[in-house]
Amino acid sequence: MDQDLLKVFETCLLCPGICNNKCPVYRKTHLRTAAPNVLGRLGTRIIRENRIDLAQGLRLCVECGLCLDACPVKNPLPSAIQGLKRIIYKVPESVPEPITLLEGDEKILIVSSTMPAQWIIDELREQGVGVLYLDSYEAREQRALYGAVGLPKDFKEKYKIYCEDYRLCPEAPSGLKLLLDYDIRPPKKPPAYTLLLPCGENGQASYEEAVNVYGTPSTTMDTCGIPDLYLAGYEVYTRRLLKKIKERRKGLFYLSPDSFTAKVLGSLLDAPIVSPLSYR
Amino acid sequence: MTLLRDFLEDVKALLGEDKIVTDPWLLIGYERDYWPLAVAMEYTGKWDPEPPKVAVLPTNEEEVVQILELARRHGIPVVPYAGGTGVLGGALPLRDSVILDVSPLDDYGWHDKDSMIVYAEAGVPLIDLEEWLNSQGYTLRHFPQSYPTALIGGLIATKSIGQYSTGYGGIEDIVLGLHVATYNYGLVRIPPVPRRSVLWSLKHLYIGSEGHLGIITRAYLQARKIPECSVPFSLRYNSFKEALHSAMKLVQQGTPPELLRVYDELESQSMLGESGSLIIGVIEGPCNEVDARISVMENTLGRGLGDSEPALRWLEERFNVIPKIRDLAEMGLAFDTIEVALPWSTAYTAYKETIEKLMEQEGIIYASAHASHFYLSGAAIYYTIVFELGKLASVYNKAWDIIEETSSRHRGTISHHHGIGVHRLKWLRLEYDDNTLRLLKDLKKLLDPDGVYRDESIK
Repeated sequence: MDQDLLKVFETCLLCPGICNNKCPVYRKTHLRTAAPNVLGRLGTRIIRENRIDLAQGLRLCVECGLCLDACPVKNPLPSAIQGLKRIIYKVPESVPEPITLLEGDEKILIVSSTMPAQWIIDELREQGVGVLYLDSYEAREQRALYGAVGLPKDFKEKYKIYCEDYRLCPEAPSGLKLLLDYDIRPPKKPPAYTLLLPCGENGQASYEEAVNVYGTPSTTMDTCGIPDLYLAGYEVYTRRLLKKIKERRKGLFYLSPDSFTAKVLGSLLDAPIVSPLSYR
Repeated sequence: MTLLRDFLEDVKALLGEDKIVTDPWLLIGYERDYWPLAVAMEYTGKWDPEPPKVAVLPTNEEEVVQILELARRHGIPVVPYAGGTGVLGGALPLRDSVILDVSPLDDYGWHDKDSMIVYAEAGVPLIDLEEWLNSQGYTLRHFPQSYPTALIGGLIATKSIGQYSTGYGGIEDIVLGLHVATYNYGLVRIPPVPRRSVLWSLKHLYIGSEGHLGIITRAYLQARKIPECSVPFSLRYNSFKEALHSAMKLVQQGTPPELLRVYDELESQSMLGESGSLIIGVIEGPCNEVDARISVMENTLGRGLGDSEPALRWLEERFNVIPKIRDLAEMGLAFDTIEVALPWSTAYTAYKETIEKLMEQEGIIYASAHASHFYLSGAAIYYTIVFELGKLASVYNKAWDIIEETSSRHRGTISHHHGIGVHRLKWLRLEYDDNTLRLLKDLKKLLDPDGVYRDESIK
């Protein structure tokens, strides 16, 4: 496996865990594997010894970047974990990057171009409206799912059509729900293996449902078993972005991919947050 | 294994399954603490530990007591685990032991704000407590090297000391009360009071007990107001001997700086890029008092306090140990730090003899030291040895032998603040005579008759 990734993990292995107490997942779950310096040791063993059995520990990282903020040498552990996940779970490169804070100008600030809301972002950009798109752990799981099961090549095209349809469908419970319903339709050629990341408030597909659809061997990562992970993810994003949002509030249009994030962020900002469902 | 399985069944019935961890991928974090030898061996792929089989994560003090009672019933040793920053292997799992992770015990707050007393459970990160206090204008002023990572329970169990110790003392000086979970006396409660004269001090029995006598679950700590003024300074000397002598004069004149560090020639160069021997310090307090104390110090030394730049640089970088460790590791080198305390009358002689002996050893690349904790009677000397990892077997224990034996022979202690852990047990005989060692062991047996609390080797 990648030697650059290994070097990042080894640096964390050498560290006493200077950033550990800043990791929201470790702090909420108290699972020691979630502590970034332990994840460094985990990653080192996975790569050096091919210990794939340890890989599920990587899922404890929500790649929020708070460890990086606290790291005195700015060792890029989150992106190394992401890279290792990609290798292990064979997630294609085409899957969008997880949240990256990109400084934009006052009018346009796009934080993440996650697929489910890309059409709205595009439209708003056309209108010259700044968009702060709040990613979530859940949304990234969705992307991981698409990557793992293999999206059809024409997905983007179909997706645009689908989204347009969606705008005409006020009863839709949520964008992600419909999106997943779309996605779990049997593809033309069933994948050899299915990796499922079920869970989340948007009522994503159950493990059994997807297994029935595909009829292939499947693995569930059962993130529902650790519900705090979701809360940790949301909390991190909202806290981390709060400062930037406040700084750039004027002229910004807030958009959230799901109602939970919208609710949390809305309460923090004391401002209405628009979710795909309410955007017309 | 049967014993462990039965123990786990009982823990499950009592506390529920979610407080038990048995998956190897969730146990990897308990394989070691921050013992530099273990870190170096893992880095070079030579770490082959006894893997822990189970960890339990109690969420309140009563559960800790219940787990200990179950452990006693099933004959399972219990190894407490807090932040994992100990440097002597004190948190290494024992064969067929259970790890008791105190991190979920993370409640803290004011116990008595008028008296500036806070309570903190064992799993509270020191950094959280300090930042919370700072937001209200208060501080503990306790900054060990492990400050970003360590948890309150671990700091007390290992008798931690901080970088501002000359002004504010060690953790024993800020602990006012304790709760300790035991299997034979339930939850031992030592209420916080300003001072107590009620037979012998139970508080001091448990501070530094390293998990041998029970598990610390809660502490009451003395906070203080954040100092109004803080003045960093430096002093440059030609030799470590001269610098150490000046530090003694500063300390013994009565109002030493709150933070004081004296580097030998090698560390002045390698740590701060300065030639000669460097003193850095910080004087804190009400501004007018700080001004007055600076005058007193300057009179004592017969010279002015120097520029703040080296001290500021050190303050900025003090927790960033990674680049140096990484550089050494990449060169196939490992390091360890060994701290002792010596009276002023022998401190420099012991230092000089120790460094000379260390440098005679094949495989030791360099040995250096600084003094960073000071008392009217003496100072802590903190040695750093860098050695070839390939010569570990021949050089590691030998270096430790030299430092511990020389300190002991010069009327010093074998450990100033890192504690004993597992590695240092072999030098206990240098600290106490046979009768006193027997007392230590008998106390352990009395309080742990069933051998539940961690390492059996001091029984």
